[in-house]
Amino acid sequence: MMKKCMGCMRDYEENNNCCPVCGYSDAQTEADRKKMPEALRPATILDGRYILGRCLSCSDYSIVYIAWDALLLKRAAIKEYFPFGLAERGEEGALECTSERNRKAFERGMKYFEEEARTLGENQDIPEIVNVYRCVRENNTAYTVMEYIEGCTLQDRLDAGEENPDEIWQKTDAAVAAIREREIEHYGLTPDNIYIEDDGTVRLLDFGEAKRKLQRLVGKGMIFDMDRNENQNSFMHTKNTRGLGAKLRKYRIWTWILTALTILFASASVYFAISAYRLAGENGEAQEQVYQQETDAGGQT
Amino acid sequence: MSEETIKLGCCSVLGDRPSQQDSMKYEWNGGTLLAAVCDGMGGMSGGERASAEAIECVFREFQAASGLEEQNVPGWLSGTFGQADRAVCGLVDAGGKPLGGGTTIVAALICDGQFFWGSVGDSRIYCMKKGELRVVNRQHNYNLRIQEMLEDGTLTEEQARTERLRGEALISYIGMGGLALVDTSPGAELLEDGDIILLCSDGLYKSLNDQQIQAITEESGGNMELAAERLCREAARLSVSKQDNTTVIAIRYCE
Repeated sequence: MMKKCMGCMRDYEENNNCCPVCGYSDAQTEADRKKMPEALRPATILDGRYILGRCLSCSDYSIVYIAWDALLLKRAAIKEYFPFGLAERGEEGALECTSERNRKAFERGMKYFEEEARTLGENQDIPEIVNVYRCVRENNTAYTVMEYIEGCTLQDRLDAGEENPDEIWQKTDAAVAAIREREIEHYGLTPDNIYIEDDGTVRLLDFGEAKRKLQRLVGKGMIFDMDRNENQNSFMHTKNTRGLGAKLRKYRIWTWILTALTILFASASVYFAISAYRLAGENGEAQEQVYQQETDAGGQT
Repeated sequence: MSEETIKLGCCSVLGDRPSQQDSMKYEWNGGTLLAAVCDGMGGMSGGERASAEAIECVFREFQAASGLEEQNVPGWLSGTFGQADRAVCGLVDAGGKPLGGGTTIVAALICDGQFFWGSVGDSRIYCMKKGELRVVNRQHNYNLRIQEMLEDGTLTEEQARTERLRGEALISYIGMGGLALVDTSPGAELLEDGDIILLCSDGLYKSLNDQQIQAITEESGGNMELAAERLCREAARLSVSKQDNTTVIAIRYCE
């Protein structure tokens, strides 16, 4: 009997402990589940057509899964609209709004998500864009079905120690220029969404426009309270700042302690400054008296 | 009708065959578009020459025609296919002997948002309206006869099973010398914004089912060049046996 690997969606003999190609096992499925409880369970069927596999990436706005397209018999990547803070996963897998107040923002955000997918879908002839095939509504949310890219992200390259990927930057610049010709902007370029195919082609993903619109709608920060974002940080195009946010969060307690110490130090400084001023004032008066006495005495001589 | 109202893409792949026996062409005559796909058959270069000759003959007639929109288009298509049949029949080899090649043909003629079609052989014409894909023409092969005989009771189900072994044999094709069957649209079909027409050789539908054809077409973002190219590529990828020559013309009507 053959079994589908939830890590790479290839088939392998059931009596193997793990996938012989990618090494993914059932134990890892469980570990991933504990690590990312919001993600849909592997082997979930979407739209009667796609078998979802493991979670590929997760941000405060969406979750991306590897998937098997059972109609066209090929792998796909599926992005689930899941704005953290506005919605949470119900027991049956459907998303539920965290409050009635958030419902409108969630639904508007879903329209933005679908609009962005549609724009990208209509521009599949731009080779530098990852193909977005279609949008599906299920589980009270929206999903975009995308091409699965064989290759790695720029982040993977940087993690592997590639220090100066000039060629990738040049190709990324060319890709950004190509999409701008169609009046499409990329609002969230990060090393995680610059894909490098095995032949070196650079492909861009996660254009960020829908997320930006939603952020504007709910006020920046509102949907990011629960900080699920470990993988995506804003990126200034030529500088890798990935992990900075996580490090800051890690050292947040130290930030508080430092802030408290700074306030204490500042208070102490102000106190000593005032005291010194007062002391200086008193000394001044005393000196004036001495000077006066000396003047008076001199007059006498 | 202007060229802006039509988005068109086409693609042809060799597959696992040694030569390309499919031919295709599209042309405008004033505000009228004609697109056609032919799938040739016959040893040596018979199929190749037959499909090329049929295309040349039909498009020569098309460019010579004037005021097609005011004519009986299905009648014109039928007559033109008859001329192509005679032209292919007249082809000879280097020694002056009859070539013995033949070809299928499917054609779509669009003027003023009206769609007409014509077909001989087993190539297909698909029409996708409001997310529903349907095959508009019959396939002129022995399976069609078997079905007719089953319906009129001249064949039992058991006999039909045996007969179906040669069910794919063509019963009408261009070059047979007197067409046994010619199908044309009964009249004009009005096109609406977003309607898609696909013309294809059997290399496509023998590798992909209708659901797959619909999904690939819909998921190409309305870009017909992409749709045609992906249909051919996916047919080659998903083919269970050796891939035949595959040709697709994809047309989208935009108001």
